[in-house]
Amino acid sequence: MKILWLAIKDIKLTFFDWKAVLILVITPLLLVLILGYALAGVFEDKQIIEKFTVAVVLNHPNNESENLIKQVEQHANQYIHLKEMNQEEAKTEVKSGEIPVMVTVSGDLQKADSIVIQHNIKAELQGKITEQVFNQIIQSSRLLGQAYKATGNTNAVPYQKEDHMETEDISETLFIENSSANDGKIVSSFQYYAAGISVMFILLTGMSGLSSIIEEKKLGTYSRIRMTYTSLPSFIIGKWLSTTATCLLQFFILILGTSLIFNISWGNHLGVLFLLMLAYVFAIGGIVIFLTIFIQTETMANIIRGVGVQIMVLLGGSMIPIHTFPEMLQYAAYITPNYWAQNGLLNLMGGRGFSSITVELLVLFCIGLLTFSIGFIRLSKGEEGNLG
Amino acid sequence: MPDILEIKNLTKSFTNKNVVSELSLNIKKGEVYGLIGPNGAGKTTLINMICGLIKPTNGSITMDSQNIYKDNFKFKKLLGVVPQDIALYTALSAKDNLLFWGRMYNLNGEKLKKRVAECLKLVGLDDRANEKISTFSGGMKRRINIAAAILHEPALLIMDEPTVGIDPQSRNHILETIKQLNSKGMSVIYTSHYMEEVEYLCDRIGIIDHGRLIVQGTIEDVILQIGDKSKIIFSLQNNNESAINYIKNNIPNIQEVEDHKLIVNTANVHQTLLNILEVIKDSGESIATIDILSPSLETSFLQITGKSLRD
Ligand SMILES: Nc1ncnc2c1ncn2[C@@H]1O[C@H](COP(=O)(O)OP(=O)(O)OP(=O)(O)O)[C@@H](O)[C@H]1O
Ligand SMILES: [Mg+2]
Repeated sequence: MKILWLAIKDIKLTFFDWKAVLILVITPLLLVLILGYALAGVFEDKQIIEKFTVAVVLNHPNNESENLIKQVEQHANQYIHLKEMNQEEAKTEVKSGEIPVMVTVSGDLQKADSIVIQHNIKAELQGKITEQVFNQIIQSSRLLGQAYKATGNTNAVPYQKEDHMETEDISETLFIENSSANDGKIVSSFQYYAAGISVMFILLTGMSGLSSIIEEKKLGTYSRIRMTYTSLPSFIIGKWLSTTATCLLQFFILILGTSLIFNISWGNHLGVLFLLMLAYVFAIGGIVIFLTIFIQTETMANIIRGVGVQIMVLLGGSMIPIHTFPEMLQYAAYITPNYWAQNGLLNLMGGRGFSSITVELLVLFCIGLLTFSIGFIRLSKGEEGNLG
Repeated sequence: MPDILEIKNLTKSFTNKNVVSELSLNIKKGEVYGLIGPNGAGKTTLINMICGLIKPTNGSITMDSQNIYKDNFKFKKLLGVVPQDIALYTALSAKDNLLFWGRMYNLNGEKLKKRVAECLKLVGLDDRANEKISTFSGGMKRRINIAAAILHEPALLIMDEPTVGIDPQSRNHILETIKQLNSKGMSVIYTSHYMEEVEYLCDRIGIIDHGRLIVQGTIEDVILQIGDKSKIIFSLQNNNESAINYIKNNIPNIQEVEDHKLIVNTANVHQTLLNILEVIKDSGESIATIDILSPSLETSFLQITGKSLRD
């Protein structure tokens, strides 16, 4: 109960400071807005790319071409839906915009331009996605192995892209996708930055918890608490609780804000999302308690809040997509909790469920448990001779 | 009167420097004990050991004849501490602060509300209960600082310079509050730089310097122990080193304290004064200031610590 009162006091202090609340809630929303608007023009409907239909026209179908379609259906059904129709039908649908993309597959895959991808002028992104899907499937040796066994020709990819209508180029960086080949997760830049900025600001909020411990030591309220019947462990758990609770609250506000104001989808599994949020704030709370062992002065805390968080944000890919980094740095990302949180969020935003974030949950939970345990054990002993 | 607190051979050293050394004192039930000493004497360090914030290097502290480090929580119940620095949440209201501190002392429900109201009234701030501490004057903050220490009705209240830097009105209020608490049976350890406060409040005093208790007893006792003598305090115009040495060598019972002040204790003021004037004349120096003090706590303190209480 006392732990609760300690935590409530901290939360009260946080929310009485309206400037801090403003920074922690409005700034991230503004950042999402700014980044979102900067990129919005690229997306016609300013919406997330949802699963879309691709018209498939099979000219002289045979085993090979049917096999290809099957493979595509199997591996890419998360974000495209194939619909077989004849050439004329497909053209009409694509021209009218009913269906964004059509793929024409001729029977003989060994011939050049045996696969032609055409898309509606407004469906550049969908065209690009379809292109990548077919590209990946064809490149996978499964199909090529069969198709070219006879000829021994394994080089040329037998497809050609032909833009049906005039198009603009899509800048690569705006099209954010997971780089691993079999992972068809695709999220919009809006979602990407909503996730990145949220985890970043929650990191910042967590570090305010660190500052508040230092401030209490400076103010003498920490010493005073220790003169009461309140034990040091209660004080530490109280700080941990208020830090995680404030982070969680902020997380809720950011998710709610971004979905209501910017119509950003955080996926279809709210329960799993909540689990991920819990795991992330659990990790942050632990890290704060752990850092308290080493960070004793306000200056140090400010450095951690300023520089430390920035480094974590950059390393973890919260601002710049991580796959643009050199390999070494990509491994470094694994030590940042925000990397795991964001990765999990992006998975969920891509429409996937619990199984897609088990590793993230586990890693975050372990970070939280380990750091909290070490911090708690060390701090519970108190600091001999330090009047604080 | 039995002792409520007994301190034996208490020593605390920070990096090999003894801040409190071999200090023994006892506090009787129901008394107000004044702890006085110059800056850095070790008063706060002593208090921090009593309230369990830091552990002594050596020695023992017993309350009701039991070592306080054996069962810390039991003694925290008996102890109220007013820290030297105001330790409150300035962004919260006075009432919210007291509610919080009361809860830290395991108070809750109606009892908590009642105690908060009583203590606010006691320190005379019930009309400002809902205002933030940050809007309070220094004196009002100090009063809330005191209220937060007595919510749980401790048997022993330790006050570390509770009247530093405040207006006379707040000070009087605080002194009256302490008298009132004491009259209801609360024992008090009172630390101050203000001699008149100590003289007004305390039944007994202890003078502490360089971590050692130099004298202890009632105010009359202390004055007596130091010597029931008047003091002639003077300073010289030029503070000439050799002249000072000459004077020191030719006047018995002379002492040099800070700022080149010289003190002579004497039972015969008239004779000593004539002697002093003669020696100074011989030394070639001349007098800048001269004071004659009949015995008091202030002069005793000055003599014993070589420092005046306030700078
Ligand atoms: N944590 C510490 N580490 C090292 N030295 C310390 C520590 N705390 C106090 N001291 C030293 O111990 C001495 C006594 O300090 P203390 O605060 O007890 O004095 P005080 O009598 O309360 O003085 P004041 O009247 O100014 O409050 C000082 O010289 C101080 O520098
Ligand atoms: Mg002090």
